[in-house]
Amino acid sequence: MKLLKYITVVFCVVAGALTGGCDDEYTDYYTSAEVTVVAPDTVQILQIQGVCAVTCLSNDMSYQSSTWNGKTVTFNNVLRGPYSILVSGTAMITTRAGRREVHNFRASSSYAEFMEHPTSVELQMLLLQ
Amino acid sequence: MKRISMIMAWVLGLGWTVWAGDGRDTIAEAGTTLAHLEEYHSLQAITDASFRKNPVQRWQQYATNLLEVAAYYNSRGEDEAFVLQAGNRQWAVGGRVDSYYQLGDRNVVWGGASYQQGGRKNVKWNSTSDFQAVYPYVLADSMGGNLDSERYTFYGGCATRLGNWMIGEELTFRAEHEWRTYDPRPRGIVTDLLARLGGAYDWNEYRWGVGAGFHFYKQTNDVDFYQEAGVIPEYQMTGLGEDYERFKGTNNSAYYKAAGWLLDVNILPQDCKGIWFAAEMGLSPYRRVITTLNALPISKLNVWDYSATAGWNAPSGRWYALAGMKLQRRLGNELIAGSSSSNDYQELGYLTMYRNRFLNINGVGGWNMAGFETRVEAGFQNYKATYEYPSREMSFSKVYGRIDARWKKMLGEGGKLSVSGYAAYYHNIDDELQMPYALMDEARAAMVRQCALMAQSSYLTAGGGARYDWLPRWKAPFGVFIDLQGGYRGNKETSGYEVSASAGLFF
Repeated sequence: MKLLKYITVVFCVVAGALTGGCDDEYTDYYTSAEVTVVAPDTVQILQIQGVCAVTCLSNDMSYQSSTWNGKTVTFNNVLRGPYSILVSGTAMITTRAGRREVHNFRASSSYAEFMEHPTSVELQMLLLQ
Repeated sequence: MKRISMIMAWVLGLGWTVWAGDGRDTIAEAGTTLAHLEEYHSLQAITDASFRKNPVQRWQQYATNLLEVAAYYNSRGEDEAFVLQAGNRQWAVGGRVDSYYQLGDRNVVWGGASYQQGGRKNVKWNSTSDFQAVYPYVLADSMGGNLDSERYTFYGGCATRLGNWMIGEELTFRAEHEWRTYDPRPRGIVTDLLARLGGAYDWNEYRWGVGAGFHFYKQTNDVDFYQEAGVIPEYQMTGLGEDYERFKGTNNSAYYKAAGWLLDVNILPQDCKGIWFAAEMGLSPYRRVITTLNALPISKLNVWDYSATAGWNAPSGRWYALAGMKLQRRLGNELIAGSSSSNDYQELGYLTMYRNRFLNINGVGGWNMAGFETRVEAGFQNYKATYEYPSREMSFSKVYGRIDARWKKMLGEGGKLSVSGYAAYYHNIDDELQMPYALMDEARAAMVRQCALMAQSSYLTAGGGARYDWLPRWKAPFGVFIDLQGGYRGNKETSGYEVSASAGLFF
């Protein structure tokens, strides 16, 4: 009788340990990502209008936003993973000489990891004529 | 010496050659062997066999020895495939040997082997073998085609009694090769090994058993294109029509590997009369590894199986009943692949994107009497598959009823005829399909709709057959048999047939 109890207990412990140890679910699906464009040292950004598009490399899903908070666009609830980023738009800047100018600009990255909570990515902007 | 010869014979799959030459015992038992075939072929025996997976529980499963050698043919066909990825035609022809022997009063051994060749037609959206085991993580293309296959199986086991203790062990092995001889040319080579160990103790009129098993699985899978006409993309499918976009195209070479385990517990009355209980759980974690990307493990599929059944066998042997549940959960963990350098990708982590649950609850009642037996089953099925993002879901619930009947009669000198039939109806009571159709191409959307339509339909299945066993009186050490079965399955969209024929010898 003691032996049977022993066998039952061992069975339950082993089953529990294996169940708990192997049922590896990874449910940390989403994160928020902040994409910030960085201007060259010689200019200061006053205002930006444009679109930031991020594309998940895993499933080719794209997200777009044109809601800027200064130099930053925030994406809430995107799938964690590798992304490509393309930002294009128009920026009002102040040059070192103090002159106010309006330029088209682009910023891009073919690979960025949206893994942390939250993720911050900085992209160097390229001012166009 | 006889014992050693038998074990070696089973190991080599040549048991029949040894026993064909040792006919004295079987002639002596000839008068009873025919009658005792019943314990192998009765509806109750077939039902019981599905629960006696622990090798120690095969002790006293049958009172008589049997060695059966047969050639067989089976085929199924449907107008439209019930499972798109399995094709709408399938056939196989082969030979098999199965055996069960009591050796003295301490050992029972059993074993068998088979070889078959076959094929499938119009397989679509699947270029991987063993779809039922490794889905949804398969390689697939929109073209599909026919497949040829060959399969070898071996199994053998032993249960030994040591006083009140019993130990048992069993080994089951399958090797399968599937291929196509025109573009796209998938090839799958499968090796599948299951080893089980069991122990039991006789106490208080019951046999209390526990067991453990180890499952080793490997499949190498690739798709080639030989013609100059060009290639089509192969997709790394990830569930409910989704695929791993980043690795689609030419990453056509992969392998699956699993090292799984199972545990079981069972309590059976020593005389098989009364209440009994059996439960089992197991895990098979299938890793899919892309060979051409420096052995990148792009998915880990954890397949959990649970089952529990309780039953009752009447002391008279005429009645039996059981109730049980089976649950399978599939969790698909997909790799978050990082940056690459010369096809060498960083592994950033995994996400459980695919979930699938299939629950079956049933109750069975059976009744035996001389010359006739019947079995009635009623049950409930619930299936739900989801994909995390983009969000997809397919589910259904069914209730079903099934009735089996079997009639047997001694016919002619040394002959026995048994005629059987069955009918079952699965009624769909609830279903759901949510797909991001706006994000899907036309072919993918059509595939998902077709799969859902077939899975969520109510269907009827019915069939029957006859088996004739003949033990001639002219002192042959063996009997012969022929078995013919046929069946129908249909829903409101399509219908299909199943036929099987086998003939051979029994000793």
